[in-house]
Amino acid sequence: MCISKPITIISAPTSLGLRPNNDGLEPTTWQAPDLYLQSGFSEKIKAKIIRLEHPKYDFDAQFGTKIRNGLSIRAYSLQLAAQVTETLLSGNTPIVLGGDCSILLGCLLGARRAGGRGLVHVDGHCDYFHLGNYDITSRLGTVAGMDLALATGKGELLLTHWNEVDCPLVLETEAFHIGERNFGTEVFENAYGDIVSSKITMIPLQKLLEDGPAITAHRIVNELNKQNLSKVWLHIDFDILDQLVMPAVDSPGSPGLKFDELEELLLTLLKCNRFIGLDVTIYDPGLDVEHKYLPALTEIIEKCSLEISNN
Amino acid sequence: MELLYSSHPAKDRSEAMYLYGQLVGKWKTSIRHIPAEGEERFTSGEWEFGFALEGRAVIDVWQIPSRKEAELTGNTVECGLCVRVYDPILALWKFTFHGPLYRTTLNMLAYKIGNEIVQEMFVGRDIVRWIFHDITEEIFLWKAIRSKDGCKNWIVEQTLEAIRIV
Repeated sequence: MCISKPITIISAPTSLGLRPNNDGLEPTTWQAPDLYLQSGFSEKIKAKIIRLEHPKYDFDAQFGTKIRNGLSIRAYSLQLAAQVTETLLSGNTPIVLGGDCSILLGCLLGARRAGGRGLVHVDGHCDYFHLGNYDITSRLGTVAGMDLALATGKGELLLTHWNEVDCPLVLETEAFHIGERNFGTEVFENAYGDIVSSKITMIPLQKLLEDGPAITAHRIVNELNKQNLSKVWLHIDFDILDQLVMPAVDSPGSPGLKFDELEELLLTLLKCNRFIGLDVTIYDPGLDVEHKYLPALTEIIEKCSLEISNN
Repeated sequence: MELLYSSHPAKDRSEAMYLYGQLVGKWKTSIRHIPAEGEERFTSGEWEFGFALEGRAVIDVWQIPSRKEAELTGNTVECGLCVRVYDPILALWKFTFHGPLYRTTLNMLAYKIGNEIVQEMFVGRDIVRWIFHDITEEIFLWKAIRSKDGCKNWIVEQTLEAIRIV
């Protein structure tokens, strides 16, 4: 095993960005990081481990925001960002284990403070809800459904304005989404169809399946090369997997990738030496009582960690 | 109210307290009301800021018109109390406003954005921002703006010019 750059695993056990589950309880995505770590993969790759606390989930609206757990997510993002920045500045590669997709904001903020630019967002949904495309009086917004919008500067100041970062965490021209499975449908149009009028590059799931993971990854890498983006963040939401192979996520769906296809996509992306860190999100052990899907997910995380550390 | 007032910002967050702390003092205000329909209206008043709660908050009271002017005209004085508390964990300000005459209570979150102070709240589906801008030692401007389309377009509802008295 060859590891050229030391890895720091940051455990971010949070469910703050999700609505309560069907039983009205806090979803259990927060349990995932410990389970990944219990598999022993971190010892194999000789990673340093930093553990953030499991933040308190609030069922009621918080002060001054229409976003569920909005204040808590800001606090958690600042905490996570500090660890990501410190990891990068010390020369290590951060691998952030979620948790739900709200961790993306802290990852990007931390990366930005260490000179990071750009995002590849691999997700079965483009997570683009913002103040301009849904009725904020109808429900509390959930960050796991709006993380790409927030990252590109659309949404409440609470989660789009960060001290020391004058512009959005990621410019639209430097954001690349892969995997929206509802693209072109009425569901997509009614939810966040306006993403097509942004400058975010979008490769829907159907296109990904048609072209295959390797060609898709190369297309993104070409764009990164063209824009000379050399410190890019990689976000991986496991709901890009087909619900037939991975149902233990907040919003499972089909079509989707198989495990080997996801692995090919991610490893081809990471081989280009342009990524400085990655996060994995949304596996919910509460929806996988026997932990049937855990080994395959952990294997992907391990392989990605090794690949990025060799950059 | 000795327990309420403070003469200076708390040492454990003095840099952050400067954001609203720079407004501490008394100001004469000229206000322009711009209703969605109907004619614009102009009023004048006073606005006074001070440190409070061991220097970890800034409180302020505005009046329209000033008491002096009200005594001369017989007009009712409308006034509002604002409490602005810096939260070092969130790196932002929490703002609460009480306007007893019209039974108003508002909550907002506030941020330093460039050289401006931007407060944000949500009224129905609208996004409302109150912004302090062009702040100097002797003068500052303030405006209330509203977006009905998710921050694409903004309508100016009120502007204010403040000139320092004390």
